[in-house]
Amino acid sequence: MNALLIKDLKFSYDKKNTIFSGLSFNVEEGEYVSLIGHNGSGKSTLAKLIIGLLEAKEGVIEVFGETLNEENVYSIRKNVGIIFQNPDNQFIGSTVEDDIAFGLENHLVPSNKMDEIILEYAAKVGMDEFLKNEPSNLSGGQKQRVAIAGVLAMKPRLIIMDESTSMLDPKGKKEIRDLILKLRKENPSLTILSITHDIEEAYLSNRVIVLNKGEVMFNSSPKEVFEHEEELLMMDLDIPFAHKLKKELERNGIKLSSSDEKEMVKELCQ
Amino acid sequence: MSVVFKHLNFLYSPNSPLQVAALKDINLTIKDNSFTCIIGHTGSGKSTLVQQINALLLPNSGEVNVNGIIVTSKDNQKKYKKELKKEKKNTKELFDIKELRKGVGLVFQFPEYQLFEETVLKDVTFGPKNFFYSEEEAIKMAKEALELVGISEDLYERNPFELSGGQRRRVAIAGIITLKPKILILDEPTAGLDPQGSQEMMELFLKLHSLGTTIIMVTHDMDNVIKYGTDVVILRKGEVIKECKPYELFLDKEVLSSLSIEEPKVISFAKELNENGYHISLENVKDVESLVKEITKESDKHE
Repeated sequence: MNALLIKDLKFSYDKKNTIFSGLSFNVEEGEYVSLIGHNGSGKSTLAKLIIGLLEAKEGVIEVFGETLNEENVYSIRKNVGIIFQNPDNQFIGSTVEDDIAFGLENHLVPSNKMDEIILEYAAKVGMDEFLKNEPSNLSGGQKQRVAIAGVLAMKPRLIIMDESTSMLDPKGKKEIRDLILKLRKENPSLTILSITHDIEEAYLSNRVIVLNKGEVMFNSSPKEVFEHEEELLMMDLDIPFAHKLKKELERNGIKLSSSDEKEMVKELCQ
Repeated sequence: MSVVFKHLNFLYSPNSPLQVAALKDINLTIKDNSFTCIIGHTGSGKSTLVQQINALLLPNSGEVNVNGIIVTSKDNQKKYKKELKKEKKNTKELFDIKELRKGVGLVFQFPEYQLFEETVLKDVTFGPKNFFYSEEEAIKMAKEALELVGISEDLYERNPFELSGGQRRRVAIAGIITLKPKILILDEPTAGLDPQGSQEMMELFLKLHSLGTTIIMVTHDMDNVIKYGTDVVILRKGEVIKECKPYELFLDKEVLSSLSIEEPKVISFAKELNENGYHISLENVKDVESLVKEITKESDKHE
């Protein structure tokens, strides 16, 4: 089943700048897909279209088989959670527990059930010891984990991460990467669409979609996508270290067959 | 223009139950014209340390000497003044914070949040005007700075909030370098930028460094430390635990594991090769290009 289906999507902010002129791709239920592309390629616009914050001019957005329109936007949002980039912009509560409670309150969850739910999801992201903490006492990674807990408590089937790790330090990035893997293990039907610049993170996903000028350039496994070094570099995108090294060696007359770091060391030492 | 810390201590919320010693007995010299990187965990005191250099925070004891101007506590200033009066020396220049701040530019994290004027040019002239330069001079200085950071003329009259994130950050940095500071302090200058934007930003600082600016950069990005840094200072829980050349840091297993620093991939690859018979000197490995250069040197030797 498709968690998400985008068909012939057209969108522009104004007459001059067309963002999408017929974008199509799908994400299956239970898949972990990374969406990469340089700044201005339309990644974040796409996220906003999927949750109905922006409205497409033409084309279809289907979320779990239901076509998004003005009437069902609220019911569709029940299935979709989104985590934004800046940890400080999405911390609403005055404490960790208040922040997780925010979404529950909006969904009219009875208050006698709330404590239990908050504890359950705080524990899932490893923040159950910080329930009474204020955001100023938390690191960026911890704040993002709280944001994820708040989203998980809504039991979404699709989570969109819009550069959720880009403002975190290396430790915070790793915390979130590990958390994604853990959540997927616990719930194999959870679908994740991650908009990211972090190549190492993209490497962990099932599939990588590369957007360029509003079009899908590549759509395949991370391994296959990152073979297209030249094209990715032309689009100002980063490529993994091993691929970069292989290419630079080749430019200097050393041709290796592998693009795996350990194998490359072996080849170089023969 | 060197920066010398002597027995500097700094407390947050002193004499209260919330008192925290953020910096403990810091003794450190940041060399003139260096590109010094300051690293350490979140909360290790990196930002607190650099804010002493332009007297945004004053130490509780000890001092920082920034090219002859002393940043120290009010009590210490009194003591200094008493002594110098005995010798009948002028003390005004010694603590001239305004003069100090002309020479030290500080770029906070996400400096683009500090933009506030209606146009790019107005925002960038704010600094020099504050230092009593005339409108004309201020505009001249602003244009020079904007050119240096790569903001083209057609953007001068635009509202800064209409620009992209990377452009906004450049405008904010232009505002800080209008006064041509001798020392530029950067607090995680590439956070939140995409790889391309982040590299362009680093090239800008490299250019300023080559023009003679001392760069002091707080960072988590070890790739930037080995590529651009000439020196590195490691902080842990408010103390300086090591000062060295960037490559030396990655030879110190104890520090690496205690701080759980992620080694740059070029360094771990070079180390791996060395374990298998290569003799690459890590000092020369700064990025993929220089690593490959070292590898080709070695393979030439073998043939």
